[in-house]
Amino acid sequence: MKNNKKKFSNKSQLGMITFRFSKNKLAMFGLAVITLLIILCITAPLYINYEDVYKQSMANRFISPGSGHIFGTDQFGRDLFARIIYGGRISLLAGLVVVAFALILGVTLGGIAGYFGGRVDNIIMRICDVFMAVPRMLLSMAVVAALGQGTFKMLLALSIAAFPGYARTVRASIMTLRNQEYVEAAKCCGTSSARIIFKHVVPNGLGPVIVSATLGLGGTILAIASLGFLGIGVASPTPEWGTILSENRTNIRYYPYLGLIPGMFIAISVMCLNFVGDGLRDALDPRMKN
Amino acid sequence: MTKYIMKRILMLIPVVIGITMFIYVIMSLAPGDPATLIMGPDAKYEDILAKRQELGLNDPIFIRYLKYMAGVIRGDFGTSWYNGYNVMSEFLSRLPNTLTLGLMSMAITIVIGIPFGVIAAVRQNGAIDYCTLVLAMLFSSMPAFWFGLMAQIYFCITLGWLPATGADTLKHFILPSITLASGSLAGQVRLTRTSMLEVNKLDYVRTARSKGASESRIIMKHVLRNGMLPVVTSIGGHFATLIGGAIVTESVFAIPGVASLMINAVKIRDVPVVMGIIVVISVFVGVVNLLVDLTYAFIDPRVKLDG
Amino acid sequence: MKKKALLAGVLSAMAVISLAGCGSKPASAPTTAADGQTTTQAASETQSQTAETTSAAAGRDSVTVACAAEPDCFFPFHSTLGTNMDEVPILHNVYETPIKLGPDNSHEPLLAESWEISEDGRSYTLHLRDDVYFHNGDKMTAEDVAFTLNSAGHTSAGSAQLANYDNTEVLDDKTVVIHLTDPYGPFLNALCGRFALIVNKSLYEEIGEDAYNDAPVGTGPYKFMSRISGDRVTLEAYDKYWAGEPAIKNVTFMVMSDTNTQMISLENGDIDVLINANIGSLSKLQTDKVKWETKDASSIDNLAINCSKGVGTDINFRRALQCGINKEELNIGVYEGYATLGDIQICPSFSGRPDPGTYKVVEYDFEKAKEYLAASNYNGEEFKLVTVAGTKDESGAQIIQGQLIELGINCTVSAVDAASYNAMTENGDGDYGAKLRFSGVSVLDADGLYYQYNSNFVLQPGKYDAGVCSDELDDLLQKGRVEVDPEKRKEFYAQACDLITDNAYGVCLYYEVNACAYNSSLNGVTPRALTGLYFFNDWSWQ
Repeated sequence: MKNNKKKFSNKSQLGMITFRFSKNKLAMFGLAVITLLIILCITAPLYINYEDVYKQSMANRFISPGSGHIFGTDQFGRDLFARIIYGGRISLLAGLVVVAFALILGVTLGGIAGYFGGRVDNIIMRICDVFMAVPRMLLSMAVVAALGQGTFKMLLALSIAAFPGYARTVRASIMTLRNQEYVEAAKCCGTSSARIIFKHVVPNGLGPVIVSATLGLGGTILAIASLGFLGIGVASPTPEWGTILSENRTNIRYYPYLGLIPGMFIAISVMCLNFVGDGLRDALDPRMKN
Repeated sequence: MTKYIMKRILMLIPVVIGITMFIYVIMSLAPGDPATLIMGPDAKYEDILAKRQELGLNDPIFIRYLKYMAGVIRGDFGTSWYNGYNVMSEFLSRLPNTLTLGLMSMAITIVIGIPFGVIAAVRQNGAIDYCTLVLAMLFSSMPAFWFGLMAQIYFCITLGWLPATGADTLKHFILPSITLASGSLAGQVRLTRTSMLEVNKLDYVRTARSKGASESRIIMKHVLRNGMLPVVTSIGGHFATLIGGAIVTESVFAIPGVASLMINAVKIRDVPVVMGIIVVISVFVGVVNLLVDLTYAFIDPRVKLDG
Repeated sequence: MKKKALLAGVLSAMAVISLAGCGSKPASAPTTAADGQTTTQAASETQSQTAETTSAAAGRDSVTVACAAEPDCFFPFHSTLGTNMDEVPILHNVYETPIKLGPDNSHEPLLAESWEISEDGRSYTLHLRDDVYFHNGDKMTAEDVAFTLNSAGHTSAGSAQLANYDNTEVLDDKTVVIHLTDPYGPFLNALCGRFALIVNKSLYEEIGEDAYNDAPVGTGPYKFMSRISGDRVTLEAYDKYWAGEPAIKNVTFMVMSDTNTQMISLENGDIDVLINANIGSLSKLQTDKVKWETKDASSIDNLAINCSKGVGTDINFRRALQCGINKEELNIGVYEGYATLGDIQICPSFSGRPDPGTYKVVEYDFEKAKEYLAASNYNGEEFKLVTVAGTKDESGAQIIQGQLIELGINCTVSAVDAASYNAMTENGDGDYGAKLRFSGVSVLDADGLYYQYNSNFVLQPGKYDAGVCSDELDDLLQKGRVEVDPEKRKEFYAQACDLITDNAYGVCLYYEVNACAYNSSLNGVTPRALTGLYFFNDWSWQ
């Protein structure tokens, strides 16, 4: 360990983080699985005919996993493997869209609040309080109730419910950084504000945001699945993991694989995202290790 | 102290106004005429017009909102558009079930989460540490409804140990509470672990160690007591999450709680019911957080309450 | 390395746990009804599984009934709220109608001992029982009947069932004459329905609609005891019921929305009867403690095409849909093959339904559909199918989507909530290709077509004109509605149906099925065509 530390002490901050991250077995495992999943999903058209997602055959309902259909078929005789892989594209993408949208909103508002402080900060934080006063799930449901059902509306609802968390994280880290010694030192040296912001504040402030975004991605995938289960999520013909689970839920008892496989995909991807998020957190904040 | 409490309670007011205005406005902008929906598909046009008048849907939205809030201040949350029942009495009749579920699962989270967090911290980077973390993470990565369904099939059908559904006795709440707790378990374990590790590095712990105090004494006397502070705070935060998670759990186990009231209201877009639930819950969560902060100040004299 | 092994161990533990949860019911999958040919006659057949008398039944006098929908409106003809079918099982046991609907859609005396219909079909004379008392002790008289019908007959929803209703005249304490403005074929069916449930006039005048709704008082075999929101309604046998106190003393009506939960409770014996059960799950039941039955319901599933906007304006495109949808596959996918396939929008059991062979039928023909599609000016535009999320129609829409994609139609499904559905279809600006939602016909008659195609109703202000109305159709539907002679009615409806089929306004898919599962020791549980209509006093334990 000591040797390693010496070796990397001269490296850039990013290098150190990468090194610490790569030392974390769980995080690396998570990253590997997630990367594999993403590659599988992106390259889906190369090995699965898109028709298989919709193509049904009442003669081939509930075929158990095995030859012909790797994951078996569902209540309409559709190939579960094709649906899950194409569903993954939507689940992961929907998760990313929600997190990205919430991040844009959260980082902007949190950044403004943290940078300007004072009255602006107060107003923005009260707005965040408003959205944080209601449990996230309830708030998403209320927004869905108002806008009506639909994929885009649900994503919007989840983003609205998620952004205050990011705003707070960003604001908090900017607040801390503003008073950091090295920032003050840079100021004393006459460094320009732009350089301070991009060289010191952004790289250091970004960490917690990336961590909470990674962890938030897992949470969002779960939330989408839960809304799908309650019947107010992504409209059903679009295969999404939660929707696949919910459309098969009356048959889960009789054909366990219908629940097991999509459930595993959700659980494993969420868990791996959490591992990565945790690993990032530890890598960014090395005080916790040792 | 009283001043602080008053201030915190006053700060709830803009939050409630903000959230109600947000929900009210977007619900009013929603597509579809409520009167048409309420009167059903066979309704005559005149009856729909009359209903619209009765609900005040012809007023500008701001006037409607003010009328609604004037009612809320008097404690009148209105009646459901669809069955005419009083929103508040419906809510109150379902609240005990949701509270029982929430409190029981919180108890489970604490009883299981804290000891495991402590053990993980004590055996940092050991097998137990990893096992605990991975297991806890696994539970919180599973969709709650999936976990609930599997547990239901196994424990209620195969083993016949527990009733599958309903809310008649505490026994009915065991599986739902475990299901609900499974989601927040990982958070609790990690928080406890982190907090313990942080305290473990502090000077006074090092001092105690160097003085030769026994390890168990150090853990119990110094680390645990001080490490528990952030854990206590987190419990308040849990409560809001639990109420959110209860929605899915209540639906799986057919518990007639607040959450299932909300789901139905959302599906048929019953504005007074959705509004009522949001208002009461946001106040409730605010008060719980206040109580947590007060407890925090009470057990940790270093914390000063001056808003 | 050690950690990796650990991780692998934990992951496999997870798999084992979940498998244990699932595998509890061994996956000895019951054979699926893949041969869709023989499904129609299975519909009314009892799926008995060797009923064994369980000793537990001895001496029991209470039942627990479960249903997915929550009954929450207990005043039969609430004038300020829309009414739906969810309350039917409660209402028809607390209140009573003059006439009772039999399992075969026959008419049996209930509050009315007998009735006469005048020659011109415009007046119905009811002779009422003299020994009927409301739960609060008041005697039921002709005044109550007249008051109920006069109030309900003019409400928004009431006038849709008690069509052509004018007024009710009291002749003496036990005789009323109901006057109609014009004859109405299915009026006796309407007298079995919700809007003919008799309420206590003097009590109503004393306490009003809302209080009556909270504490309903009828003449039925059961008294309304309590309601716990979202959970249950409890009923208790009425000891002074005119036909004798029912065998079942206490009825608990539970709300249970999830299908798995319903089935688990049924198998566990937590509930005795499950109404409106999911057929897919019932067909997989592996216990002889539970029996189940199906019955053709009074609801019709029709894919209604938007004929005045988009690709649906092209008749060849509509005809392609008409012969390009495989209804048998739909039936298997949605109802495990238990439903009866549809040809016209009149259920087989309905009065006024033309005899087979007297109306045109379009058969499924994939090649012909392709020809029609080629002849149309369809060019790969999006064809949007709108339906209500979380319903059977959503499954139906998905299957249709799959079939249409195969046909070469770029079909998308939009599954939305009921509110958005209405906003998009009935009251919108026609931004949809076709809509799919079952429609119930409570009067059990061909007159149900009136509410789908008559311009008086369909083209009310604020409603979207999907282009399915014509003067000719209006005329036929009006004639069918007021005609007394059953044979003539059938002729009118045959012509109306041909007109609808020729224009391909929609595709009639199948008639819905009511399924009911019950403890095999319980006697007398029979589903009827009207969804949710059960008479608990017909039930008894073995």
